[in-house]
Amino acid sequence: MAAALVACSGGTEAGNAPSPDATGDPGAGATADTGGSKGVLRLAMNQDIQGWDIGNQPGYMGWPAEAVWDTLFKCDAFNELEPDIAESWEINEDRSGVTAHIREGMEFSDGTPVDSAAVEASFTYIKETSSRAADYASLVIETPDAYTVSLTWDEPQVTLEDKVCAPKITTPALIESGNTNDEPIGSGPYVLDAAKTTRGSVYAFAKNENHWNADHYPYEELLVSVIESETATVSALKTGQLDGARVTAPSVAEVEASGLNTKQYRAQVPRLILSDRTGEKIPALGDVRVRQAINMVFDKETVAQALYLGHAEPTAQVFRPGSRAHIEGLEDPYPFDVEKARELMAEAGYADGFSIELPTMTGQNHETVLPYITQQLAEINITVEQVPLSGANAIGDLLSGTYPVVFWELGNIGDSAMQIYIEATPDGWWNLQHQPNEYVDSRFEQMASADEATSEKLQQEINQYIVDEAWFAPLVYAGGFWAFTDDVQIPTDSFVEGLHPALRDFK
Amino acid sequence: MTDVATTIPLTGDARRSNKSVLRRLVANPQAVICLVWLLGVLLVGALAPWLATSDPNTTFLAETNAGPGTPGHPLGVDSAGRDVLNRLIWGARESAMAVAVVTVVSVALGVSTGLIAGFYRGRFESIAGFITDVVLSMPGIVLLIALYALTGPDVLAAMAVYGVLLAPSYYRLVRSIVLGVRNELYVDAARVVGLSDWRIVGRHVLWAVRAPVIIQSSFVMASGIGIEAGVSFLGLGDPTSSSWGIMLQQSFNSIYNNPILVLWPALVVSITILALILFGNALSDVLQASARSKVLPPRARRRALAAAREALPGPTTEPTPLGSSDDVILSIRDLRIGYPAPDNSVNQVVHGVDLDVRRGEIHGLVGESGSGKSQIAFSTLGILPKEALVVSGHVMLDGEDLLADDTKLAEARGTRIGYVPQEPMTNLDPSFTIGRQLVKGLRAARPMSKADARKRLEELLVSVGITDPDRVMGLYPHEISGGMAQRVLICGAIASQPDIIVADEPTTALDVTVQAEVLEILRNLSLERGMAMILVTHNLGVVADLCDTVSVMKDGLIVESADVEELFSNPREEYTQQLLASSRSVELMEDNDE
Amino acid sequence: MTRHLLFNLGRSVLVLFVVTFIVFALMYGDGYGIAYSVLGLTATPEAVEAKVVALGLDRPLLTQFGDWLGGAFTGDLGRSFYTGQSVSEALSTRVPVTLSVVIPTLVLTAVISVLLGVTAAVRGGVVDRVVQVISVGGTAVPSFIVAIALVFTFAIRWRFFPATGYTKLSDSPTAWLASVALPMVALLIGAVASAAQQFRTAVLDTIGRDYVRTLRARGVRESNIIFGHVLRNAAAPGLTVISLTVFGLLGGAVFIEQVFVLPGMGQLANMSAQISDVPMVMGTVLVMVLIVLVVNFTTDLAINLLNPKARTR
Repeated sequence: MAAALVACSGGTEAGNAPSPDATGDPGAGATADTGGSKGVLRLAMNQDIQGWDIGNQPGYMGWPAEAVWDTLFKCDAFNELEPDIAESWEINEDRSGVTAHIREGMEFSDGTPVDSAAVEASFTYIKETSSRAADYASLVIETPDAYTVSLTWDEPQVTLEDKVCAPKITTPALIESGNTNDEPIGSGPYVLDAAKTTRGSVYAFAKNENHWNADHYPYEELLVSVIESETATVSALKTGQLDGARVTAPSVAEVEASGLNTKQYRAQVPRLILSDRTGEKIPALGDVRVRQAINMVFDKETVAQALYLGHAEPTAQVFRPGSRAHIEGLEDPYPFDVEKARELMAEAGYADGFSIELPTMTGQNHETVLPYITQQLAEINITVEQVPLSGANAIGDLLSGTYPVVFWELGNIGDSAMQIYIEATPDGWWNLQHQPNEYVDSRFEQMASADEATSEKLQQEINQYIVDEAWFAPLVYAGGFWAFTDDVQIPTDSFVEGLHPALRDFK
Repeated sequence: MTDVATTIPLTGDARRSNKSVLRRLVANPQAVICLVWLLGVLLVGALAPWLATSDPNTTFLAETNAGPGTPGHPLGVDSAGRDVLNRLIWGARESAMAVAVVTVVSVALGVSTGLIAGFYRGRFESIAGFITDVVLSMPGIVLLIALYALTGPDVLAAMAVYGVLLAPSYYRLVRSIVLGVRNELYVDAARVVGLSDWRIVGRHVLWAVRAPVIIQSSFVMASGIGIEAGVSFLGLGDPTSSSWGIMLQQSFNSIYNNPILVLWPALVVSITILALILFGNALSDVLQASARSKVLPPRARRRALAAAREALPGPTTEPTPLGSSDDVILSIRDLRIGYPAPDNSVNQVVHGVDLDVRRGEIHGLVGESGSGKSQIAFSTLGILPKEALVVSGHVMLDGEDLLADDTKLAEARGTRIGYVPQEPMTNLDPSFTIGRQLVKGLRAARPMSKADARKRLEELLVSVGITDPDRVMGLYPHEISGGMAQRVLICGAIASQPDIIVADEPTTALDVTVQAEVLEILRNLSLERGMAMILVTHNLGVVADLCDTVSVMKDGLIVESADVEELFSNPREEYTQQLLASSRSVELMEDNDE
Repeated sequence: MTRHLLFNLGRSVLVLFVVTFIVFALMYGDGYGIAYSVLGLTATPEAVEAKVVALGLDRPLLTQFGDWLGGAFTGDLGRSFYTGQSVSEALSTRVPVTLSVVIPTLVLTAVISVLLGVTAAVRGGVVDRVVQVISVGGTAVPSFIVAIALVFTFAIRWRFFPATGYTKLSDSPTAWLASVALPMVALLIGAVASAAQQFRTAVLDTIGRDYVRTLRARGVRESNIIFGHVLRNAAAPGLTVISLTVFGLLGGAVFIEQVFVLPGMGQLANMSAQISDVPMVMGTVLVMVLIVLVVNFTTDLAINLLNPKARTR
């Protein structure tokens, strides 16, 4: 897609300060140091944002949103709460809600104060109109005074942190006006520079010096270009038109050869999602031996080397190391063994196999991996017919449950409870057939009000169960790379999806 | 050279047999090379299941990204572990399919509507014309993208729509040919004979449109290959396919990782398009242009001329004027004119002609069309077509050899030799007024002021029977009649007071009453001004009316030359006798027609 | 002539109407799919339902098209389904980008191909054959392949030009030139290849006319004939060639903008069509068809003005 790189006049020169600044400290509150401020930070996102509605902002590459809006809290890489608009807070004993104390003296870009009314209006807007409305259906918002707000659900919330971190806070007046999509009003560390912005192509932001945490954001200016094609992204990186962008493994050698740094964000597990575990659509998939057999036909080691160019390692579980659900040192129960897989198929009575439709989409790296998957499934007589999805309906079709087997490079989330919610509970959208499961669902329910240790135990039980029952056929533990120039430092990682640095990580 | 010939250049060739077309194609190395490549692609596509070592999506994981020359993978392995050569082979099949869809759809739509519109005209033609406008105003590529939302990544559907978008090119081509053929004699004749419309279409019209449609198709196919690649490149193709466009797109995505991958599909796409275009050009050379001769490059021209002179029967002699040399104003000796044949040899059309014109004499040059009489007329003025080759001969004007000296020829042209053309309407530049053209012509011959030139021309126009010269000089050619145009052209020829006028069938294109007037003017001019004239005509009546002497031409030779009375009363050659006999019967027919 | 022009104008309006309707009908389809896609992964059925109604996608095709058409007449092209951005606003930033590549390319194409075509036709010989070879070669390689090759040599290997992106002319003329140079060359090669060939044919055709022979026979100098008469009469077919070049360039821009990541309207059209952002697609289609029709109309007008036959009618 588009990238009008307004500030760049085409050479390798850039407005960056020549030396990396010294403020590597991720903590806030460093004294204002003009010497530490830097010029422009130029990033690329591979998909345009859908306007400025606070209820419709992506997390993935969501730098524009992070720039213009503050949120009540910031969530860190594992969805632990950090201060933002809220200076301090108390979480309810049963995790059914939180009471936040708002920082005084903050202002929106239109000059109005940030107060409990604004927080209430924004949360109400999300509750009533956004696509996540269901998450906030039972939310009750109370504002005892201008700088206190309490948010309470009718029952304990497993993903409480995510729900209170997500809503962007804007002014009641803007919400009232209905023009939420046209331009952003927020109290964030940057302000949209409309004159330099071309929608769909490049978004320019100027630093908000009045931001409560302004010192944390060293760059005076932020430019986010929309570049859909990775080849174009790499070209722009190589010619010095970008300071940072996400690239995939095949481009790593190239950008490194051009003197850029790279950092891997291993946050994805490409996998077959075997969602029809009761055999509703494809009876064979209801047999655990069939799902296990599918797991055994992939030579994960070679896949990591050949298709992911060595930037990946084989895995049997889908949760991120460091997250609560991750089981350290889990042996792969399904090593590459086609013979064994055939035996399992025969035991299950499916020696002659069956056929499946496998949806594919362009731009998802499918063309690299799917030929191998198709070929290996044929080894146990599973015939794959690839169905290309496209257009507006693509995502809808993909998630509709029409296709009980889907290949996707699904992310793993730092907050593994949330990942369990998304991928394993009946409400989760990646649980494509939305089939309930007693073992998982009961444990998920217990997690809501459980303490950390109990929650960790429950999550690992769920992980082990999913592995044993072969709900997925995970291939490797992989992920994209962040390519960046020497002028940029990324000492921290704050994005819960772990796919790239958050705006506040750039130093 | 006339309008009919330029609008329907194919009617003559269309009747040639397929066999000779094939033979000429095979003789053209460019066509052969292209054809071999194209047939190769087709064959590879057709035989893909047997030629390819495996399915296009078979992966060789261990050899992922292997370079060209890897054992077992001559062109290497792509980043998904698939053999590149294998995919190219299967891709040939997919690309051929895509191109076939484009071609079939656009030919079926364009040719059928073009035939109907051209043959029946009327309301169908105007509706089809409007639809053509609509289709041509479609932002084609955007339409293909919009279609993607409807059909998903279905390249064949996109190609079918692209075929619809290309149909107007066939429609326009076929319609204009049919319009031309429709009025051609043989279709009229067929109608008189009572053939049904469909049989006429089948027998004559389809025959005439066949060659241009085939030629056009090779260009349409070329653009089909390009658009398939382009649409896939935009990400609208089926990612599971192995068409060349998809290969291009996927290799472009991994171009940093494995740049060589993009080379193969880019090469086959470009070469195939190139082959189609060159083949189309060769085909059109063979089917269309070969009827006309091509202009030879200088070296080939010299070589052809030398070879032709070598082959002449005897040494060319010095010109020896017949009769009294004082009296002769223009004398042609041993004139041989030829045109390059396809094999670069010279195909002679005038085989050594001698001709003398005395001062004040009107000399008729008669013969069937193609006998070479116009060639002789043109050569005296140095206005032979560019491709013509003067093999030998002399054109002596007052004892000076014009053919030997280009500057002498340029000086004499327009100044001492005037020219009256055959078709008055096409011999005036439609963009300029009569006055401007006449003035320019006169001042090119005789330097004088514009006002003087204008004055003299006005007098001349009056003398050829135009009563309001001032008004006529302000008119554009399309505003005057054919007869008046011919008077204007005669004025243009005589304004510079030349010694001799070359008139090339000056009355053929005019209707009978005007013919008589124009002949009268020519006769009077000759008498009043003592100008000699070469009158090229196929009409013996005109000769009898006007000429003093006459030469009869046949197959590039003068067979008989004599005084008019003598020739008419006592023709010596058998051919002259035939000519006289047939001309009487033609006159009879014409009389009946009137 | 006025009658002829008025007739053409009416016809153009009708064409515009029909073309936009066809594209609209092609895009018309699954309102729920669009709403779902707009709302994203987590949308509830109720939210989707509400969105369908909010976007007006639950209405029949003709009503929707009528609405769009009505809006278009009053200058309101609607808003993007996805970003809510006003279509006219999007076009006002996108169209100049495309035009700033297409217009200079058109001018260059016209100048270069007239020079090449006329020289080839008049001089013949080696020049002619060189032009022929360029033409065939230039048309054989698709413009996006040329573009890829250019990016690799001039932007990445030699770093003469930026590989991607666009700088506004008003921001920095030199940076603008650098950002459009390669896209222009990529478009130029194909355009010149075909236009030069057509100019050559037009001039050759005129040279073969009878009146040119007559002018020669009158003793008018060759240079006078070429510049005074041949070029004058080849101007009308020449104008047609130029107008065809405009269409070619507009189509080519879609590919070129993709390779060079230029934020032009071709890219907008491609992007919007792939996600069924109907108002955006319709906006770009409208602009493209308008350009085509205006160019056609102007060409027709100019040819009429050049042609005494039509002028005096």
